[in-house]
Amino acid sequence: MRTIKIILFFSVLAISIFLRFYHLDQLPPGLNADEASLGYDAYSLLLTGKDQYGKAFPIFLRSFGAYQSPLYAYLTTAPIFLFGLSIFAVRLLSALAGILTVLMTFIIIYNSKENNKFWQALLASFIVSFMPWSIFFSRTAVEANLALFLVAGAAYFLIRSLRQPVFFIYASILLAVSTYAYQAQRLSSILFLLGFTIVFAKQFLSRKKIVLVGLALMFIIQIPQLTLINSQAGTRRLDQVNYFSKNYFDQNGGNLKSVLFGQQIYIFNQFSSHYLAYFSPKNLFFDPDPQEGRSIPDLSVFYGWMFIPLLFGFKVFWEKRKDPTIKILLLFIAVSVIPAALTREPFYTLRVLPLFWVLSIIISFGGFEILCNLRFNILKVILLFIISTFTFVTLYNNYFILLKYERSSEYGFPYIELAKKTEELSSKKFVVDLERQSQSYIWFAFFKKYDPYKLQDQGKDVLKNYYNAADFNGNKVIGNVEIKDDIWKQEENSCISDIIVGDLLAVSEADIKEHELHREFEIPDLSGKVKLKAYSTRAKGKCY
Amino acid sequence: MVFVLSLVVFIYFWQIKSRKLLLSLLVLTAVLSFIAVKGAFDENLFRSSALDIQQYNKRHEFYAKDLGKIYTNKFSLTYFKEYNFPLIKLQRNLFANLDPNLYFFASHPRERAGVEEFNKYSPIFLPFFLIGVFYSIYILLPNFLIYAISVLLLSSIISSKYNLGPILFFPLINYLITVGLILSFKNIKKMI
Repeated sequence: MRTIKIILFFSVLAISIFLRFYHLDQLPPGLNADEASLGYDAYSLLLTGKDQYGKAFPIFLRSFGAYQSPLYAYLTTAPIFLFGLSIFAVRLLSALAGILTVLMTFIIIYNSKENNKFWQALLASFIVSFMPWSIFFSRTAVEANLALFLVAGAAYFLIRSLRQPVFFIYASILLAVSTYAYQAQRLSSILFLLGFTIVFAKQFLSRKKIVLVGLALMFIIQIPQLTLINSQAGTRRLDQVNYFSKNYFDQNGGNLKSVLFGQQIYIFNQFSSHYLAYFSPKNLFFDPDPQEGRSIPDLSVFYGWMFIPLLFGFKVFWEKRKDPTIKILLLFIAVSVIPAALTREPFYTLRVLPLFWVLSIIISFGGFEILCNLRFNILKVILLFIISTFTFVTLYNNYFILLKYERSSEYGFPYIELAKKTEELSSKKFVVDLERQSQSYIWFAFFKKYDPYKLQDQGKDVLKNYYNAADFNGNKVIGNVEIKDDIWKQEENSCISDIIVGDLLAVSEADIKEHELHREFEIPDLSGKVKLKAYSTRAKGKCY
Repeated sequence: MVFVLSLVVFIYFWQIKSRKLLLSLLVLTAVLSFIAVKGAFDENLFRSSALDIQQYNKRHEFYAKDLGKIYTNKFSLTYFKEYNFPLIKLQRNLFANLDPNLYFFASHPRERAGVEEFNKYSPIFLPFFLIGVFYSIYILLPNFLIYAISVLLLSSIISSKYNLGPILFFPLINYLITVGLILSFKNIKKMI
């Protein structure tokens, strides 16, 4: 029996590794702009100790002006050192974090007081391993996935701390580090630790010193971020997306504008509706994230059939609500949605990965309950087989086939193909329109492995006030490619034959006539839709 | 009709489980379902729009290219052509009714395009609704589960854009809110 258990455990691990590493560099096809920026910053940090703007060891990465959390980029220097600047190297950390989260799920449930803890843990880790949200975010370079692993690790330490209080300190450290992994953790990790301390206050009354040390360590590790709390880097993300401002209320408050305390009621309504949206079965089981770059075609964060085991799982969780492991997981659910609910976005999946992780565990508990209630073992096997087959077929169709064809533009595929083209035609000068894709320079910098010193030189103006330079300008020169907003502006006395590249709106028929342009090539996405068109100018013709 | 059915649902599931009440419950539900289906049967279930056809053609190419004979056999082709879209639409209608924001926040923050959204219930009742839901999941009465699933399946053939909203669900929501209110008052009494 022990051998069977070991084989099953390693089978689940093998499945999770396969689902996360299979064609990792090809699927999704390309890199989205944020991935490319993280990867290039890591490359720049590795070679120069500075980010793409020349800031030495930044606490936040300026990137495109939204100030990303830096931990993922710092840790990605290792894979880039080993494998070079490539899609695989950039995504490796996220894939590893995904696998470790599956492992962590097993460890947490296995160390609980469940009667059938091995089977429960195995089912929980198996379910997490093939969840759409887990696979999707493990296969893209997302800081939130790294943060999830750190938070899962902290959850384990917190559970252990109820028997061995010193683990509270390790948990505090992990939660503090997670705040450098993803912006949402800056709030939720702190709330979670405080919530834990309050809920389990009785257990820690005689160990106040340990709690104080843990909280103090959390504060100390936060100091670099706290020093920037009043800067744009510290607050930019929230400023961009919240609904608290008077301006926003004036534009969207409706009838509440004429009501006493109308703004406060509006904010409360907004928070409540956004909070509830993350628990809506429609959003969890059917409607994917509205942003195509964060979702799989026709597949939401969970498979539709999981609604039934989720209900049973909630029943089981409620029955066991006094169990410390269950209490901690329920606390996770309550707290992890708060940062997302404070923002305007309707269903921003990336901000609530801890919620999905815990819901996956609840689904596994519900599934286990259903299986236990089935009388005959053969029925259990048949049910598991049918559901697994159906699920894997759905996953394969929607993720491994549809995603690459229907979402290739979200991963910069046309620009990556253009970057390759610019390398082939290295003697030509390219001018790329950034009007509707202001971040396009990063794909050229990444795939041309552009010298970080040269790129830093172009962005050095922001160094004067790095953490307060949120306004982003995508005009850059990357080798033989100039990315600019006004593609018709030419240097004086210059009649060099350029190749102008833009999307379908960049160059009109009138422009083609006026500037005597000649179509050179087109770049489609993987579905065959033309996304970029390239025209050459005639050097001997009109100079403008 | 909704009010009467709500009353019957409450009395049957909360208090008396008599055969007469069960019969009333079934008859009233059937009548309400008939009215809803007659007024708002989703005709698009088996009708493909131009966008659907365009998507089908594109995806047909993708699957044929990647799956080869696994896809280009009679069974798979028939499933994909005849059953895939209706199943997705049925699921869309089914899950649309399971969105609590639809009832308490006029579908905010994911308002549906082309639908006139409105609050079916004041958000004040939300906490009581949630208490009622958790209580119902906790005790998980088989007949309540069967009734809820039946209503859910019936509502999947009703267009989610029906101007009266998901009327088949209103008796259930009313029941859950009432249960939540009763349990809350009981707990407050205990504390006092």
